[in-house]
Amino acid sequence: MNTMCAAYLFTMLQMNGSQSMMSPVGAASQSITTLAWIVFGVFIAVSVLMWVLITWVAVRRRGTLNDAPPPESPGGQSWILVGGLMIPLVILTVLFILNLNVMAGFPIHSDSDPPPEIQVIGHQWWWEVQYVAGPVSEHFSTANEIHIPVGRDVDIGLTSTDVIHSFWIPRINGKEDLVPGQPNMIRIRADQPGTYRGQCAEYCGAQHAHMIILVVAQTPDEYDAWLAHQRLPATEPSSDEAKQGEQVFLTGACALCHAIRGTDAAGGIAPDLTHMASRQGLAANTLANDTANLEAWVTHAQSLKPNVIMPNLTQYTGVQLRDLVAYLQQLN
Amino acid sequence: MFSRIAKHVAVIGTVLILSYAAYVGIVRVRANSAPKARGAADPPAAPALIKFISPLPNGTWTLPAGDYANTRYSPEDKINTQNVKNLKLIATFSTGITHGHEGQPLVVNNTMYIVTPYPNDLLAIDLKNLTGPIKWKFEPHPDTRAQGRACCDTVNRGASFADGKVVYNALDDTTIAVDGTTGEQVWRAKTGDVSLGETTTGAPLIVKKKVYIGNSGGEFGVRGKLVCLDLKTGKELWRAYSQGPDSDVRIGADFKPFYAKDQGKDLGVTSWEGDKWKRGGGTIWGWLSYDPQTNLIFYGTGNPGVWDPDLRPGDNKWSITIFARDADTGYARWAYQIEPHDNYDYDEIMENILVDMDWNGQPRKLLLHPARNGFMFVLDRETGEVLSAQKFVESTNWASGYDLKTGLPIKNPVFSTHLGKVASGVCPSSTGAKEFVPSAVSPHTGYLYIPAHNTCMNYEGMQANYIPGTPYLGASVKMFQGPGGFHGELVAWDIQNAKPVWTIKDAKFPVYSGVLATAGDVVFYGTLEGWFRAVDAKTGEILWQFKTASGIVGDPMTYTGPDGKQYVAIYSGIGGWMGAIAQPDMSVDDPYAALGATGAMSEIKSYSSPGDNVYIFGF
Amino acid sequence: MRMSTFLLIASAGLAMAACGCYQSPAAAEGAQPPTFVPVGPVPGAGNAPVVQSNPYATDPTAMEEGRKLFDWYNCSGCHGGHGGGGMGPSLRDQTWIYGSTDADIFASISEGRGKGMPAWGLKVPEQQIWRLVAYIKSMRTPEEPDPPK
Repeated sequence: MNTMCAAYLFTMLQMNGSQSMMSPVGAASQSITTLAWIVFGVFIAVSVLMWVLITWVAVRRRGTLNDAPPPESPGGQSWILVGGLMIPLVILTVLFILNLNVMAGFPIHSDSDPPPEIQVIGHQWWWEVQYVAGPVSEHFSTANEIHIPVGRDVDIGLTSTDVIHSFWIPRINGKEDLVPGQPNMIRIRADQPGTYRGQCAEYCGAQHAHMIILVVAQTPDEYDAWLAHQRLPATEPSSDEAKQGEQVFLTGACALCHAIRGTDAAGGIAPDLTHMASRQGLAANTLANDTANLEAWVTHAQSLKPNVIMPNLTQYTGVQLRDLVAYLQQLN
Repeated sequence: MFSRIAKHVAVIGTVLILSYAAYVGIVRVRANSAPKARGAADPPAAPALIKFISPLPNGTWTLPAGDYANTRYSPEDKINTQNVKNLKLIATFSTGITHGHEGQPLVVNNTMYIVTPYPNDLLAIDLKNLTGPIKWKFEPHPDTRAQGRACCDTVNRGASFADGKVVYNALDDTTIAVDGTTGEQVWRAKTGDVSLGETTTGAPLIVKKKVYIGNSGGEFGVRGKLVCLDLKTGKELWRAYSQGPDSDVRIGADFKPFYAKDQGKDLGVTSWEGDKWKRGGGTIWGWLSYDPQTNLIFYGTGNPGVWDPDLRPGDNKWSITIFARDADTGYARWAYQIEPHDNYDYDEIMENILVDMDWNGQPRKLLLHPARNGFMFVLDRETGEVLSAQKFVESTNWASGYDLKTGLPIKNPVFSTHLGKVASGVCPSSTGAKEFVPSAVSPHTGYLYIPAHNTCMNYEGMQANYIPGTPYLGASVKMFQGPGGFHGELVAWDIQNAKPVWTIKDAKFPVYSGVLATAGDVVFYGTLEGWFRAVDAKTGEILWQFKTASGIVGDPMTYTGPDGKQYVAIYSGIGGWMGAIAQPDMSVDDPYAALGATGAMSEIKSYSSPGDNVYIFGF
Repeated sequence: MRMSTFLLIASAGLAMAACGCYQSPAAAEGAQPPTFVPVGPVPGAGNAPVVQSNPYATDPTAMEEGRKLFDWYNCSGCHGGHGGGGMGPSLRDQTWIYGSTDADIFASISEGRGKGMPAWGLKVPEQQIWRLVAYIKSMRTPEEPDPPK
């Protein structure tokens, strides 16, 4: 058992990149990583000891029981008591306390004051992200990508509209569930700028594996600029193609579910597309945000991510599709 | 020894006498001056001196409410408490359209003018020849697609008459002026767009040479607006929206709201998230009143766009607001938002009754507003200050009262509504402690006669898509009768003392008709079962009643016939938000239908079928 | 090629092209009539056009999705939270103004109707309309998802 755990942790060590819990960027994830190393060390030590003992027993005593009956070991029971009970008890208690210590570092009270500046609402299978700090007229909604300033705590409110999801950015924090009807809160902090990848960590349906969220940590200046830009309504289309595309969007099925601030499209059940071209991915970051993927998503969403709410809009082809995608791609 | 006994006796005796005096003074006197239980026949208190500020209808009825101040009081006294028991049916007509007959007929020049529900025909009836043919019928043929956009039945709340013209709104956002004698159209003005879900169901008000109209469609996210048209030509002079920048709302330098919460620049934009004010609601589908002395128009605005409050954070100005506007320029003088960030669809388009009265010993210019949210508001109509806000329906629980210093309701957080949460047992329901059906005031008694409801609801907030021309709600609502064993009551409210004096309870249905008060001390109103009643204005005793063919959702009016006698007329044709459940294409096994009203009206089909009648009573 | 042959071939080609462009009235009358889903009775004897039935007729998942679409497309706003009526007529009862078959209900949703029913077929994919039909037909049956209480 210990060996299996050690092997698992060893594998984790090899993971690099934006979603590895072994490369923390904040104090919270650092405490988890430290705990992981400690536990790894303890497991390795115990494993080695056990293997040494097993090997010694296997090598030393040879022959049948008649030839070499087991000795009457006068202090036999104490071996079991000390080796089998006391030492594990001590080790596990220490680990438990360390664990509690790490857990205590995550405030999860849902009625913090002031209220969280970001609200994340889980849907099947995308993340709705609302920025709700400041005066009401400056609040806005985006999807699947959170931007935070480095170096300070950011409170995020978590809830869900349908089933339980779980918010986990391994490089930044531990997991926290998004439970329908139960507002939770998580406090995250990134100390280095970068893009950190997270995934839904609670099985939530057919596309659970394709519900990826990105946390982009930026310097305070970049963050303020991003915030100010996101608050603006959608850019007006300038090219003819984009203008035609806007008409396709507004007069077709898109405006029934999606919203673009500054136009008449104000659907509420689908991601807000006002600045969709500024985001890195499509379909909860399962696709890169480029022309080919956008065309494929609009016309054949069901093939790319079966059972999502987005239907196959196969009526858009040729010039119409090109114009629609041109319009969407200029929504920076 | 004896002196000691005497001393003791004296002391004990004095103590006893003083105790008894205290008992009498504190306990018994207090008990005597405590308010009596509802329904007891109190001897009427000395009535407050109520001064009416605009000319009252005398023999004719040319405005929807009879007069500018919306008192719905007639100085006619030929029908009085002694002889009303002999009132009989004089004539009855069918309009041919079995939908909700809200509103009231007009009578002028011995002609009665009736506006029907969609298709909004205008009928002219010769009062000199009631059994003969009608004089003429004007058919405007409004857009048929407007029918599917009328949230609460394809109703019409009446016309106004001035300068020889009958002016009224057809359902499809057209205002029409018809020559009262010939029945020919004089002009027609289009003020809105049916494809956005915008309709006009209210009655216009004509003041001097201007016509004021509001619009409907708060359930569709339509922007509410008050439009002013020229009476002669129908040309639009100005319009004042219920949200947007101050230029849209016609707020200028002389705008002085009384409360700090209503002060600030461009609140019609900053109190909304992003551009949600463009779907801001605040429609103006109720009653307009006018004060000739200050030349101000008074009205209230409806619910903000989208019922789920979490989808529109902010105060959502200027929904649920009482406005006072200059009648000529349309610029707002003051505004008071009754419920910031509405949680319940409490449209406040109810009548604003203008009277001059003593308040706390001082003569003041008042505005009486029995609110949908269950509180009886008394405002100073010069400044917009709230002088009193007391519950007139006891079951009201969404708020415990109003803080008169800030003008804000003291809300009960248990009953707030949210996305993804069901608020249970909220009272009153979205249909209100009082619907748009208008009350009446009597100067003889000093009472305001309020047609009240006792309906509660469960309200669940849900995600919503704005699709222009379709409802923008985000709420699943189920209504039901409130506690107390009754569903409606006609409340006689003592304005001065801010409490009810007597009530007539209806066990099954809310009171969904308007009220008429007369100088003969008779008050008229109707029930959803179809009873048309005359009650004693002082005591609430039912003096006479007549069972009409269908539930009554209209407003009684009175006039002097060509023979000099007094007549009373009323529509009888059930409909409107709650009454339309009686229509054949409504199913009662879905209590969430009709925006939740079906849950409260599941038995109506046994009590009333749709109807289309006009009843005229006299001697 | 000789000039005469060329002219012959060219004129033949032109004639064929012209025939292709020009629709004689007789040819137009022989074209398919515009109505595929009759609401009223079909005049004359003979076969009525084949009417499509709902591919999701007994599919409970489709009924669930139809229930969600019923709210998202604001059907519940006009027709009542569970189809009991309001601005539009009840969908739970047995009175159908424009016909009660799956194809009739599909046509009403897709084409819109004169008193204010929007024409959803111009925007919403066919599969979604069939799911809505499946949900509507499930009302007042044991299969109705999320029945009103």
